[in-house]
Amino acid sequence: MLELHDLTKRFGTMTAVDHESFTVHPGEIMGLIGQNGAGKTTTFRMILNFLTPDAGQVTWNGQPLTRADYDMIGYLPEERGLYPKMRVQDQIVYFARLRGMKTAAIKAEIPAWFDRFQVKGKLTDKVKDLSKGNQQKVQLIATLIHMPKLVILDEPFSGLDPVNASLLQDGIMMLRDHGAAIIYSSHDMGNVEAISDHLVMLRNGQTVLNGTVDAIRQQFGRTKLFLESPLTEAQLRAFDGVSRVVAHGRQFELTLATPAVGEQIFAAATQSGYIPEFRQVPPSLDEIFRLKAGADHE
Amino acid sequence: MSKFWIVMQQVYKKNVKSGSWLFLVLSPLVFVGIGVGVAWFVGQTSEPAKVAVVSDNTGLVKVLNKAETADVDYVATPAAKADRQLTQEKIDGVLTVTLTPSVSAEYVERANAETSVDATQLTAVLSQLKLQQNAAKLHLSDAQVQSLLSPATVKTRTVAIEDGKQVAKNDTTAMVNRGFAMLLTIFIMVITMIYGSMLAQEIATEKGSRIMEILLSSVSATTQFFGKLAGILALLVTQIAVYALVGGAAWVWARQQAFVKTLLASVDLSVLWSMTSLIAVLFFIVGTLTFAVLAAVCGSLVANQEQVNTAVMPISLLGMAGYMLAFIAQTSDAALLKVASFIPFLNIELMPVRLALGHASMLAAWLSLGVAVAFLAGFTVLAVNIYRTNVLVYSDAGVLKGMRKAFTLWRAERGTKA
Repeated sequence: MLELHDLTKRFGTMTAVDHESFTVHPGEIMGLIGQNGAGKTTTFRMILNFLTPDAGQVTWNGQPLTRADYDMIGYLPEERGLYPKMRVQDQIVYFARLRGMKTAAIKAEIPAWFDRFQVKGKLTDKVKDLSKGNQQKVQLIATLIHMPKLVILDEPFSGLDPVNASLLQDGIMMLRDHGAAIIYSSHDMGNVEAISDHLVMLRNGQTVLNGTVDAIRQQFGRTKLFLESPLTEAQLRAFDGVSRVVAHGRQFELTLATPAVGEQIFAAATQSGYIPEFRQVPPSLDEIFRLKAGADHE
Repeated sequence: MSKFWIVMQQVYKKNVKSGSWLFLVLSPLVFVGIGVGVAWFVGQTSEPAKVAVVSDNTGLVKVLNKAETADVDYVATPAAKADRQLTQEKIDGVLTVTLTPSVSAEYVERANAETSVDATQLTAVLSQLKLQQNAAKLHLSDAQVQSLLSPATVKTRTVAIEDGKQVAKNDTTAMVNRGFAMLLTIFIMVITMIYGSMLAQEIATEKGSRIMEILLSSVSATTQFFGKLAGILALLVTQIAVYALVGGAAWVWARQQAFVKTLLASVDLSVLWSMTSLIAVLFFIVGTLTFAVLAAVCGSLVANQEQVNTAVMPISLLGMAGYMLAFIAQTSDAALLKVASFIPFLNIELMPVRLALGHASMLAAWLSLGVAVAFLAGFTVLAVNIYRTNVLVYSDAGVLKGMRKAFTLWRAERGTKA
């Protein structure tokens, strides 16, 4: 179990991370979201001991992380890097050996991982001769082949097409099923919603959201209403508590100031019977992200 | 296997197979090989000069051939035949020796002869003959001849002034030492610059390509730092071992060669086995390490691979500065040089040369070496710290800004650890 207790890191006068706390259990996937400069990478670097927090601490199963724990960490940095002139197999072997695996065991494992991520390329190919997507997969394999107990992925989805993104999702979930505690950052809320059990959002180093995806969405209330009915835009705007109406063809997307107004709209819309759509939901993660990220600029 | 070894092995394996390293090791061998080959080939093909000896004394040819060390082949020939052969250019010269009334000779040499006969040597041999002839005429005993011939002795002694005392030092010692020191200086400069930039490149590439972060999450920065250093030094040891092996094999062959034999006879190489040499070698080891540590720091400063050349500049500059000072030291012993030979980085090339030239005392050399070792120790500790901070700082604004940023981060880190 990874725990961050009240972590603070300052660089000069700038506070990069401010009183950050969260827990990632084994078999749990946590998404760390936030804009660039929100403090995600600094958080990862503090977990990995690259940086020393000014206050607070990081513990793994109740103990501070030490050098001895390095072998059970899998870390994918935001900016990818491989030795361009090295052969694919040598590359994976080197990184995995540094995580304490034996060369023979690594070589035995590589083919299965190649299948899992559908890597196109030979083990004897030089890294630079692979396509960018395949290089990224090789890097992922190098990060995960030793079956880490703590997986830290900085923007793992960036640059992946939807097919490869879903392969990566499968890979992440496979590790979760093996009991790994996984923490990753992402800009793509679609991926976050699909695989995260838990979510933390940072803004300028401050934790603005912390909880399960469902709980976070629910805490915003059902303020989104998608409606297709005989009611016109003008009629919808007339309701007290409707802050915004956007038309998508015959469908209207309403933003509600108070979720309760939904009941009145439902009654009015169904006055003459059947309507094709009435869906009142909490805002999507994407909207929450925008809402929270934008709060600063208002 | 410990992670230190894995890192070291990786650095070693990656570079030992690289074209640039192989070129570095093999190119001097190829050049020396070609040089020696050409010399040997020329030596093989030039035939000994053939000289016809016209004389009544048949034993003379034997005496001449025995005394002649150069490539001259004396053959006893009747006068008429000798003249004919010379005209046909079958022989290079004709030596006519008359024994009575006293030894006198005439030597006729073809102007376009390939190998020329050394007239001095010829004269010496014939003078000896004449002397024996005269001694026999005067009925002198062997001892009398000997005493007549013995020249006045002049003993030459060269001394160097060390610590206000005269220390015996002969000319060959000084010459060999000087040559050795000069060669060593060039060697130190080349090795430190090449291996330094190799190490800097290695680290800069990893940092520039962000591999560093992955490595840091598996191995501590300190282990990595020393692993890389050891890997590069292992390459250096390999290079020296290759040269030692090839040199050893070449020595076995060269010892059999006539021209090397004559060369060795005139130079006393045992002086290489001196305190001066030991100090020079120690300076070489300490120097290589110091420059390698500097290289690691420089390499860790870059943010991308384009900055590598800027980052290795201090290595080249310091290496060149030491070399230039060592060069100046050949002709001068200015105060600047005295001071510089105690300054870290500069002393590595400068001090061995000054010691070999007799400009610096043994004590000063040991002191300077002490300074170098102490500096290396302190510098390494500092370098590991800088390295640890630097490898995470990326500044596209350039090396200097990166350095400032690293310093801020380092201070922030130190503040939190204290």
